[in-house]
Amino acid sequence: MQIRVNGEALLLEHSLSISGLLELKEVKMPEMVSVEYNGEMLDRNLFSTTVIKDGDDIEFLYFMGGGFFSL
Amino acid sequence: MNDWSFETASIHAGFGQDPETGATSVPIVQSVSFAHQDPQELSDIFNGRKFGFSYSRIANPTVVYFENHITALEKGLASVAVASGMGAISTLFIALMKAGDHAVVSESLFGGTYYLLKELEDSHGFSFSYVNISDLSEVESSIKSHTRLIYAEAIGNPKLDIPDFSALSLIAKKNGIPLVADTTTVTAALFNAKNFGVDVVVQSVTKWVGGHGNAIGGMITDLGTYSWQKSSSDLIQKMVKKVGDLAFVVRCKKLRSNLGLPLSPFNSFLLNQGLDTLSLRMKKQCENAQQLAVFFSNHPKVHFTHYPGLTHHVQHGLCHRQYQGYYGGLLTIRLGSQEACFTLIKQLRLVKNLANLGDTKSLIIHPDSTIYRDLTREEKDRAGAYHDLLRISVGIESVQDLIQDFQSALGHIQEGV
Repeated sequence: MQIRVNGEALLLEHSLSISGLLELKEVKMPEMVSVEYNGEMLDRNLFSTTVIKDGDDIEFLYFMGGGFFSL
Repeated sequence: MNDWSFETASIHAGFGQDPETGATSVPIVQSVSFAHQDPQELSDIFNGRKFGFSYSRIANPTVVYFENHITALEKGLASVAVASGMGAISTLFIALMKAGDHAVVSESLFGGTYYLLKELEDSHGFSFSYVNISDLSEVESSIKSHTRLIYAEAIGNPKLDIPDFSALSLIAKKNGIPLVADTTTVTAALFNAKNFGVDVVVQSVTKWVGGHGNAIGGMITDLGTYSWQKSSSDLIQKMVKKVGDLAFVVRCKKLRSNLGLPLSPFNSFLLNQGLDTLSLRMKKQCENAQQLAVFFSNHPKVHFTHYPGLTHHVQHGLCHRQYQGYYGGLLTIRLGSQEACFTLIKQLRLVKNLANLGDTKSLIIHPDSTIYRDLTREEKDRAGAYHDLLRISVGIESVQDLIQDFQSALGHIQEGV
């Protein structure tokens, strides 16, 4: 299936949860990342049970690094 | 998160070791800014779409290590380090309140916090109810529709009163507002704030956490227990829409950047180093304070000794339950007059007269004439800064040497002064 992660296309061979995608993308400090799932903020408690579907648009927002200051 | 005890986590959590060099001490990344060859990468970092660093006012690797270490010890969600303890407290109130908003705060507050709240009342239109934090009916009846938080110090400085956080938590939950504790005097070494219903912790890490009197810093930690989605603050709601449950910490981080309150990398290194020995130091300070309190209680020149470890302290039992059987490293004595206080200070040879707390060295100060100088007599008395009171922050020296120093100095106070 094809999805978009932070604006870039990504081909997934297997079904995956949001937690699995954070692992696959080797996201540093995943507990400090907010996830926007198809334009909606996703509750952290749903990361492991939300299964990604073809065409999904996912945005990772990193809190601990050098971004977000303009929010 | 692992199941390490506090003593183990205070040494091993947060950093571990550098994956490239094997260094086990946190590296000091003394750099203002961070270069990126790819302009898209720097743009993504600025927009939070990629992890990385851009400018040290916004974030710095050494500071992040320290924040993660504190978060692990508090078993919290995330922390934001700032330039001082007062920076942490001002960021907290500005993060949660705007003009017209209200907070319920303990009347027993550090002098600097008093001055800040008065400033926020005068210039920002915030309002505060200063309450006897041990009077739960007063706390509850002070809450209004526009109250945004309840705020108390874990051990009131210098009143040494102890809030019942579990009881306060019930009131906060009933009213849908967060309970915030300034835990500077106890730290996570003595107080598992999360287990007692506290939602947010602020600390002056200059004090017991750093512990060596060589670096100033502050920390705000979201313990992850309060649902910001339910917050009545529109400032927080605006952030919830953008970052979900990280709304509060991201708002604090934004304020740190916009107010220009970053903690320096070198101070982060020094303060983080303090965590390794925090538990040992705090327990030794508590033991020394207990013995000194007993000494003062039996000394004829000391009119009154105030220490939660003494059985006559009205919250002795609460302190024991809440702080793992410890009573803190602060005690106060009353000598009957300012003159007697000054005489004692002048005669001390070991104990230093200065404005700080939680140092390895024992420290003493006359709060009435220094930290609380600008408050009215009534405000000073309400905060416990009486005219004849001395505040002692007990260090880790031999307690026999401390007792000898005080014994000798007390001998210079004339009867009837």
